[in-house]
Amino acid sequence: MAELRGLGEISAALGQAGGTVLAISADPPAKARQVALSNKLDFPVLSDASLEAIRAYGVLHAAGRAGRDIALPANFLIDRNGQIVWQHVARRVQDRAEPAEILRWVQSITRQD
Amino acid sequence: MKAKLAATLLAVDGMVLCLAGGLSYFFLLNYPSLRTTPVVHIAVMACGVASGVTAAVIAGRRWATCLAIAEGLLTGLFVLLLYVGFALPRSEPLADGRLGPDFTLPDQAGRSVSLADYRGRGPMLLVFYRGFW
Repeated sequence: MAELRGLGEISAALGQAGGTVLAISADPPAKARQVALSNKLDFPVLSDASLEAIRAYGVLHAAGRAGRDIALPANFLIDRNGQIVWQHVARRVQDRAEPAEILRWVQSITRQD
Repeated sequence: MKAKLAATLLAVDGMVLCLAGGLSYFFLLNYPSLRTTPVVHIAVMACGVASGVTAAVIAGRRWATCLAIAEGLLTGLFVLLLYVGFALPRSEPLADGRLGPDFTLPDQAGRSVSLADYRGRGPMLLVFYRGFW
């Protein structure tokens, strides 16, 4: 969850380019609301309780926490044409993408646009 | 006398390095680079083991040997926990260059958000997180 707090600069850069960050978890909407409020997030925090997006992106961690299906920590950067240009999928519970690296990728594709 | 003092200091120093290296990992989880690549922590613990082994060699006593073994075990346990205990299942993620699959999901305010809403407007970053903390 801590990874969501470190996205301020990235969220701003995406917003300037007409895009946004979308946070996604298997949490129910009430929990997503709590996450958004307590971390003061300015981007949508989506609730994927039916695992629709989590399965579509191949980042399901079956029975990942207390027997419940959850998402693997993962990032997908998608350009304005809808194509995946960069991704990071955690191999260990603690793995997270480096915010500085995400920002570099964001800047490289917004420059092209 | 001097050798004994040196051995004691090295043995204590080794244990301190081992504990500090291992425990600090869990206190520094807010730093993505440290949590993703724990080489710094493992290196500190390895220094601890080296220090403990040196102490055992100098002292040639049982307690120093036991301490060195304990430091080695701690380091091994830390590496095992991180790379085996905390390993995640390998995913079959989508290839770069592919179209990101569309989805429609409710956001924190209850509004429906679709990826397709943003097509042609700007770049998107999807951040999947574990939740249930």
